[in-house]
Amino acid sequence: MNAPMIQFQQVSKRYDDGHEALRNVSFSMQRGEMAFLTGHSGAGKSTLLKLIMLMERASAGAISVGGQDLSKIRKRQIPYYRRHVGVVFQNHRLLFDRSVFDNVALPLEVAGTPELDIGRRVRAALDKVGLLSKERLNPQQLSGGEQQRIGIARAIVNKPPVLLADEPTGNLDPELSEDIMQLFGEFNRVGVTVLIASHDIALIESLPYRVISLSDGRLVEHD
Amino acid sequence: MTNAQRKQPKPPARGAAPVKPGAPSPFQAYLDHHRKVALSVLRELNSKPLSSLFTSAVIGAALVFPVLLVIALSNLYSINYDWKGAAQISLFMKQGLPELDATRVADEIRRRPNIETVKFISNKQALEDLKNRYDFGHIVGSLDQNPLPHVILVTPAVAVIDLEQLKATARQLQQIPEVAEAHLDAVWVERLRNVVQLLERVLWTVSLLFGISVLVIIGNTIRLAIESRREEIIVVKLVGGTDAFVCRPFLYLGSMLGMAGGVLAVIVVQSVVVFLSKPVEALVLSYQGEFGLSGLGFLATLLVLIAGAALGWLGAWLAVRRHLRDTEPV
Repeated sequence: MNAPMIQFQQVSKRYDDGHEALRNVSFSMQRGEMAFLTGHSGAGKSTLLKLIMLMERASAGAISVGGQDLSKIRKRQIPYYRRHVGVVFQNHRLLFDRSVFDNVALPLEVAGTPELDIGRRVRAALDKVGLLSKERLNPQQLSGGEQQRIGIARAIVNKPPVLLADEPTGNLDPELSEDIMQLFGEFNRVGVTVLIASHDIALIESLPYRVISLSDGRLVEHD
Repeated sequence: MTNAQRKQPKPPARGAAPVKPGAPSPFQAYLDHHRKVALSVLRELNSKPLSSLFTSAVIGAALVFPVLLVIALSNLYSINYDWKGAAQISLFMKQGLPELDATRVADEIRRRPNIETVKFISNKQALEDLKNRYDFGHIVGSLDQNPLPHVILVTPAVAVIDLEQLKATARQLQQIPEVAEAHLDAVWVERLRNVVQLLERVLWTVSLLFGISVLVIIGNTIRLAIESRREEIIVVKLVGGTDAFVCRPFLYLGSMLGMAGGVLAVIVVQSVVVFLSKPVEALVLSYQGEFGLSGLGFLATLLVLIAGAALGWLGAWLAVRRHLRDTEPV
């Protein structure tokens, strides 16, 4: 299939307060591609990810994900769309009122996955991030790097074709950051399209992936 | 495989995908989720027994007053079975009508539908009563002829509350040629009816006011619950939870608090009924009435619980709908 997995065509985003977060941004990512999204803070990285997750709507231009025009997705359909997009957050957004297992199970639970499958798939996801032994613990008992891995397990547990990450290594030391990036690379190798927003230039340049750079809401480099 | 088996192939599965034996259906998963949410809400309520009890007590208190009014009304309605004698129509026969004709009229009325009892009092008997009862002996004795008419006392088999029906019955009886005048003794009926009408209005007003206050109480509780679970709501929405999924625990919370309030209200109301039944019976007895105060039956109890749960659900729904918008645009 040659249709791009993620495609932005002259996309602009202006917030209600007049702030223009993205200006005329066009790029596309092929199915199974992995790329970094860089730029200084406030350059529009988060906005771009939010547009893909439909947390925000574009003010102008067209975005398609998996061949689907996002402007055609109505509010009620957003949850079903989001089940195909895994997201990893900088502060991992784990819920501390439940176990590691229950955190990872959440996307399956909201999708109405039968109980039996949930156990199997959660353990498979935890195995992939190397934390199968911690399923019964509370995320609070884990280290920062481990918490981020749980966040990744949650993002990939329902096998989304697209995986987004917003500063996934923001709070981690360089060694742990490299491990996390390697993990993303592994998912990419099995066909997941991965887009990682990060300003860790040193780390990004050491890795062989494409870099999409934003500055003041504009695309500055596209190779 | 034998021939017989071969002749009976399995019917081909059409339409629905063949379901693997033992594989849970999506609907089963949906039910499982409901059960899971209900249990986790129960656990949560149980983990904070004091605040749960307090909230449901406030809801219960708001439900008690309307339920008490319903009890009062249903007891008043029931009077029409216990107090049929309260409404009586006295038929005064025309002067000089032979007693035989008057008894014939009484028999005829007795055969009519909607008539409970008919009592015939001849003018002789009435005069005797008068003589004996009021010490009018000397006056009555001085009369050269009986000035009293024959009287037929009719008790209609009509609900006491139903004044129109009573009046219609009286008008019908008035049509009988031998009847000079049909007098409906309905002062009590009218009073009772006014009381009932007043109580009905009070009931609607009170139900409305207290219903709104239950909605407000539940709404506030749910608002706090939503605030304390804000992070969870955001995460659930980001991983593709529908609004229904996000709302579900809160709707369960509202319904359960409402139902618990209903249980408390029933307990209070039944206690009040037991507490009041002796004095009420004594009071009624002093009016020559016979009447037992009845509390909530099985069906009414069930209805109070359902009403509590429904109000709880509605309050939660209103609150969730309003506060979920605050967590937009996620």
